Amino acid sequence: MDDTRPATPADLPARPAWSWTAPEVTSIIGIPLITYVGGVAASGGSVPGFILVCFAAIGMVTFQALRVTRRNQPRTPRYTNALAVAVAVISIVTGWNLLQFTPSSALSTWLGPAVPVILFLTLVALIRWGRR
Amino acid sequence: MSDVTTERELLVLPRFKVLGFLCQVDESDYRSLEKFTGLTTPDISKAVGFLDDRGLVEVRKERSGRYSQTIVRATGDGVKAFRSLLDGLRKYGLP
Repeated sequence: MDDTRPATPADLPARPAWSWTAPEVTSIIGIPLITYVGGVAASGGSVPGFILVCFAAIGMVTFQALRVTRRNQPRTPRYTNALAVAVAVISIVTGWNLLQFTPSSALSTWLGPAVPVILFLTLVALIRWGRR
Repeated sequence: MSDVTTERELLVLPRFKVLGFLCQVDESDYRSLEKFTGLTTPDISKAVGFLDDRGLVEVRKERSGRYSQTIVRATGDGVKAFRSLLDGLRKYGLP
């Protein structure tokens, strides 16, 4: 290698390929599932259902934290750190609201718990494809 | 140290490769730096030492079983400096 010549952008090492670990894949599938099931249960007045949503919310933040500390993986967008906390908080608030105010229609019983699920999946998409 | 000097110093190939790689990942270790940059351990060591002295990277040791591992990550200043350097190079039409 000729160390004496100045570097050019062509010398930039290639970015490592993105990969998901087995626990990450499990979280991507499991967290929305737990959130939704917990949310539906909470809307029926079940406190354990709400606790399930809270656990899922902790899982959301943990998922982001573990992703950030992975070595030799493309950087995650910085704003997703705050976003993960926000999604977790919204999930808990949604779960609490479903528990306290029983949805009036069958449609909202099934759609209400989907809100945190959609938000989490959006977070995952931003972690993977968001602008860095 | 002036900005011009810093940019010129960052254009030294091993430093450029090491910082360039670290700007793309959250953190890395020496073995992976060797793999992705194609540099030797002494080259990486010198480059990391230089970048660490100027606050462009952070170095820490981690124990992995009986061995210790050196973990390196680019600081905010390091990422900013490298992006500005890269923008400058591209502005001059370098490939």
